[in-house]
Amino acid sequence: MRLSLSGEHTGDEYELEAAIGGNKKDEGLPHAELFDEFVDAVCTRDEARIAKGRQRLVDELGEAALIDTAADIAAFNGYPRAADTTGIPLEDYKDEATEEMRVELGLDSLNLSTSRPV
Amino acid sequence: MSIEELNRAPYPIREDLKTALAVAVNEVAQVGAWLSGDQRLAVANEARHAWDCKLCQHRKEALSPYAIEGEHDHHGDLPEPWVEAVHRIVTDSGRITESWYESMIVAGIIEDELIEILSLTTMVTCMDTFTNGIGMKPLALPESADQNLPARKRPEGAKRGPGWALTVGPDDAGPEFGNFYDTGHQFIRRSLTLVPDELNRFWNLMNPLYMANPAMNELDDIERAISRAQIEYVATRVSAYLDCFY
Repeated sequence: MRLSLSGEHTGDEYELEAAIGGNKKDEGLPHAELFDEFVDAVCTRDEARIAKGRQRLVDELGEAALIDTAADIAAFNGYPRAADTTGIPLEDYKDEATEEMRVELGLDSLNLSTSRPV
Repeated sequence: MSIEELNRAPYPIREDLKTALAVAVNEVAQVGAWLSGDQRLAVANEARHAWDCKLCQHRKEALSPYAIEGEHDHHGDLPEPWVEAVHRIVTDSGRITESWYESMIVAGIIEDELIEILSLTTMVTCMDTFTNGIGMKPLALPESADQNLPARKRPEGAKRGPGWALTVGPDDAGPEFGNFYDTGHQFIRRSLTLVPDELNRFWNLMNPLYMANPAMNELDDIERAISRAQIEYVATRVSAYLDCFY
């Protein structure tokens, strides 16, 4: 949702479906494929892919970008756990504002986690 | 763990994040609001161990995870319901239900303890995710724990909602919350408010990992090497892995 709002603010258009593993073409976001690869590697705890993705991030965006991407991934390993364990719902205003987006993206049946080992 | 360990990271970590990580890992063994230092250390070790639990792996693969019974692989330092809580939060939080939450309390975990377990387990998972991402070993946990006793005092004004946990909303928040609600009233900020001390520990780590005020436009006054849109793109994709679109 924040990605959409950021796009509205900057005037950029992003293909949100790409973020949850759908359309890979024309996401509109610089280096989206690079982020996909690194997020997938970290979230599936695939050490070889993490190492490869890490090096690509450093080579293409720099060391600070790696730090900020890894920190972002870490943060969003936190918020969902806190929300889901305590049953925190989406606020009404967010629910209404994102209804169309959630239908478009199929978020109600979202499940990338089947590929995540434990 | 000292700041030196973070100074030896394979890539330079910005100062605010380095400080937050050092504080967070050292606080693992400090006395909590409801948990002793020894209990907190045991919870943190169990959170790291949960990824290797066979029962959790079977549950993760199952369409109906609550139908899979068995025993967790665990260190043996915590009561069984605590182990179940830690493992479920680490390995399958996206499918946690209200009835599971209630079952933890029926099994003997005081709700305030459960919130502290949730916070601590989550913080350890966040720290380990970060270090793994940058190619660093997990930060060393303290070897010994603070032996002071937790105060075990519930704040005034706790009510059930907006989810199934007791929380303290902005209208009921007393002085122990300080200016916590000044930067936003989003429901997620209420999730851990039953235990104000732990709330602060959690957000003191999360803010530098992400940002203190996500309601702000773009990255005004925040130094990041990736754009706001890239940050949110990554966040969306990670949340999808956890079955969460909050």
